[in-house]
Amino acid sequence: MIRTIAGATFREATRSRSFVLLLALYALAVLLSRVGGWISGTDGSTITANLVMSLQSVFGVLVAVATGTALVQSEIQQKTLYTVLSRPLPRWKFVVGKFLGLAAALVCGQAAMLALGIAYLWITGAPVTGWLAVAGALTAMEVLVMAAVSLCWTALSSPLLATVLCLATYALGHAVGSLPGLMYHLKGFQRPLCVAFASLVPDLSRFSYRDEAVHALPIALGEIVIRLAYGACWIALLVMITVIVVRRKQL
Amino acid sequence: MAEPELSFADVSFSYRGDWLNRIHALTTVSLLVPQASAFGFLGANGAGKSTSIKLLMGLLHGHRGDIRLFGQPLGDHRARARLGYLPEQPYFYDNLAVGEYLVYLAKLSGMSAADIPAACDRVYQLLDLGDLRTRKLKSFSKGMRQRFGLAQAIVHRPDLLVLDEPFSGLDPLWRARFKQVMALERARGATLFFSSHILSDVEDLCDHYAVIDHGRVLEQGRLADLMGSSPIELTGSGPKPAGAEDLPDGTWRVLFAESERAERLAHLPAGAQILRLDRQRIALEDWFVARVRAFHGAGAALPTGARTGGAS
Amino acid sequence: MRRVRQLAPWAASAALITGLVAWNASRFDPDAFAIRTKDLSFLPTPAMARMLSLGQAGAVSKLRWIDSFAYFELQLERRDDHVAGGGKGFDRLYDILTTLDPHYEPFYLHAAFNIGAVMNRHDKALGFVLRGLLSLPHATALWRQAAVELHTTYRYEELHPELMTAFLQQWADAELTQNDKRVVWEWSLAMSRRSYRGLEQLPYWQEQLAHLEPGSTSATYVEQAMREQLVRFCLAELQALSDSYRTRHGEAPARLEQLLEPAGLADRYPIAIPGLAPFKMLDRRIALRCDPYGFPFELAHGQIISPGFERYKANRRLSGTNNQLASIASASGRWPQTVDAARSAGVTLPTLPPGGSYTLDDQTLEIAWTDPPEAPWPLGRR
Repeated sequence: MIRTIAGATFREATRSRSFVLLLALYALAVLLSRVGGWISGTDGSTITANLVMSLQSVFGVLVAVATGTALVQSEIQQKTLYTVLSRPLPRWKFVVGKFLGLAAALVCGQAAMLALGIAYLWITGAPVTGWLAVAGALTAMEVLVMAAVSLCWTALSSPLLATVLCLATYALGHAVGSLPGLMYHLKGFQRPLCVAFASLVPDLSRFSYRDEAVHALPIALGEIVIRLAYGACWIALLVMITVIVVRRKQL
Repeated sequence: MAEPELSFADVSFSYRGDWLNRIHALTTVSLLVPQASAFGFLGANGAGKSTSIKLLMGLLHGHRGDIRLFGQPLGDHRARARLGYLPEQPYFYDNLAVGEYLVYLAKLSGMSAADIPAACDRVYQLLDLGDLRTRKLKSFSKGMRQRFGLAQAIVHRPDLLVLDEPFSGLDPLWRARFKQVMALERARGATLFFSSHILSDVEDLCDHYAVIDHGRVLEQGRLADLMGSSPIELTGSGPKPAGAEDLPDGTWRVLFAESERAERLAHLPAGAQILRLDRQRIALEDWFVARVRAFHGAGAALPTGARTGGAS
Repeated sequence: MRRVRQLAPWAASAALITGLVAWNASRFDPDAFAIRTKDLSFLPTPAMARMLSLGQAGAVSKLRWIDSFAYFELQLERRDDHVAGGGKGFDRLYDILTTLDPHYEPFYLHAAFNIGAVMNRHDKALGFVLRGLLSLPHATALWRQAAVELHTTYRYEELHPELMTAFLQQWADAELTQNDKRVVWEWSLAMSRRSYRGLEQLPYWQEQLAHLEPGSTSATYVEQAMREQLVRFCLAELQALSDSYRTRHGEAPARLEQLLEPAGLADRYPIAIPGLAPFKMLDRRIALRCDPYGFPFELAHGQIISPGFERYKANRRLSGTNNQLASIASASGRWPQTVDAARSAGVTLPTLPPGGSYTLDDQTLEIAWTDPPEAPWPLGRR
């Protein structure tokens, strides 16, 4: 059942206009990234690599949010859910299948982006190392966490509000990574309060290995595993919350 | 009596409206849908038809009372696998092709991969979808979506087919075709349960009915019994009996209940000639309006000026 | 008619697209006057900048850096990087950039150039270079930059030779190959052998030039700085020879060749003539070289004149003249159409050295120069 739903979701997601258009826009942005290098007066390869890796993250998140927010609420609004949930299908399987289908589509999108980005770097003469692929994999995990975030928000609110909340979560998720550097400004109860709020948001900075990869700075295998496990835990939590919300939802 | 395919026993359902108000959508609804019947669920817009169906489909939850499907509680997945559902104005994923979508839903209904191709071919044939199987659903018109909706509802040969306003958006040709398909499904042994506010469709297809209004079931039973309660119409010439009305061609007409038949015929004035003696054809639509009005106290009379259905 | 109606929206769209593209492209006219007025408008703290970069610190730092180039150019003329709220613009900017991407070498080299060479705050510049060495311990360019600062600005070789040696040892240790380790000591030896006579800063500027893109504004700025130092050195040397001639003969020299009398040269250069002095060998005889700009030196009443340097000074005065022109145009509400009209309107046009004439290009006064008779001195580039 889950595989069936995942398969249909994968096909629907990869054929959606937003998915294809954002990929095309990514390709265009990658081509333009070389301009930054030319302006800088340096050989430009580092700047191009920085931009290419960041574009993968930014466009990946945009694809995740655009596609993820259409998953549950749009199905309710368009009633596509009715013909599915009237079948002998528990709602949790529907949610898990939906997420897995979306995740598969996003992973394919990320792989395509990474391949295109690395090929472009190679063609333009930038040094290409295996660390870029590792950074790409961690970025893909960041995108999957954002897909789970969008799934969760969309179960709780309207698609438009869910999009806004997703982007806010993305900003917060990266901001909390810098929070320890700003903690010295806080006094008394402010510090534990701040820590408590920050702990409620996935720390997306854990998936930012992009800048180090561009400079070919190595990362330990154990560290990669820990970061991927951190992402997997958040995904599991967010999908579970979504299941609880969807199970209680009146359609 | 055989186990009913579907039963509602004192089912009530309310949901939260604005602020703290609760809206009572269904109040102690009880229904019995017999096996292999065609059950028409009648009601005006907002009467509670779709809410009842959504409860049945598990799309809404939190009701009081008991709903049973093939004698099993609502959550039973084996019972649910025997159910086919066409929602009102169905929508589907835009980017999947007809063939892909049908296979997808057939799998979700629990069909084995081996049975699916033949099942799909059957519905392609029944609903003329064979040439469209590679077309994406976003290009479909409202009527075409309705055809696909029926296809997905019957692809797994359900024992109970629940159809919410199945004829909406269809042209006359496809209305007739839908009725044919529904008759075939019934002939196969499936029970039909469909809601409609187009009463002629119910008249054509159903043998059982229920009327719901403002969340309450006003009446239910066999359609034949309802039709049997229509008045006798006597047309004659010559001296008029009491209560007769003149017709433009110089004849007269009198209406009376079945129970008065013998007495009325025995006491016709001398010289009166009987030209025609018919059971007046009841128009379900007029009856429905009258029934609902009666419930709300806005005029309780059975419609006497109903359209007649010709000689029989 | 129907066909015309069908085609009309397409034609209108094509015309609009062409117009808009041309409109956009017109902003990129390479000949247009470059506006050097960009200021640093937003400089958060480094921690806040990292937070605001939303996980794209590397890319954001590069984009911020590129966006600051106009500010660099502004500072080449203004040399005042105080910013609102206190502090120095360059210091805060490089604090942010090096926090966002501590492994990008050009940030440190540009910090050294802009803060050290342009703003003359060598302590800060050295601080950034040393900070860079913490993140990039094998970056030869940073080691060399730090060494030249210590050598040239802080005269460590002279004042703290043991510290200079210790620093060079650290540099040599950081180099990864034996050859590169050897180069460190060769560099030190070459530096210590130099006789500067006013050219002490020249190795520093050569180091800056080595890191800059040829033809860039910054490279042009460094070349101008180097030529200015060279011409001042040449003028000082020739003036010394002229004064020596006056002492020996009781009168000022009438011709430049008289400066090359063997007695005068032997007096000035008892061991050897410095390599960067304005002399060359011609037919096995010592002859005068042109000035660093490619013009022959001139002599007037015993004073040595470099026509190239005079032109350089005239060019530098031009920005003040243009400011005056803009003020007068703003007050009168109209721009003069010719140079004579500008002069009549009250713009003070300084007298130009021979070979130069004012022109008015749109709203900007420029100077048209004749070409130098010889090629300007090549400036060392590694």
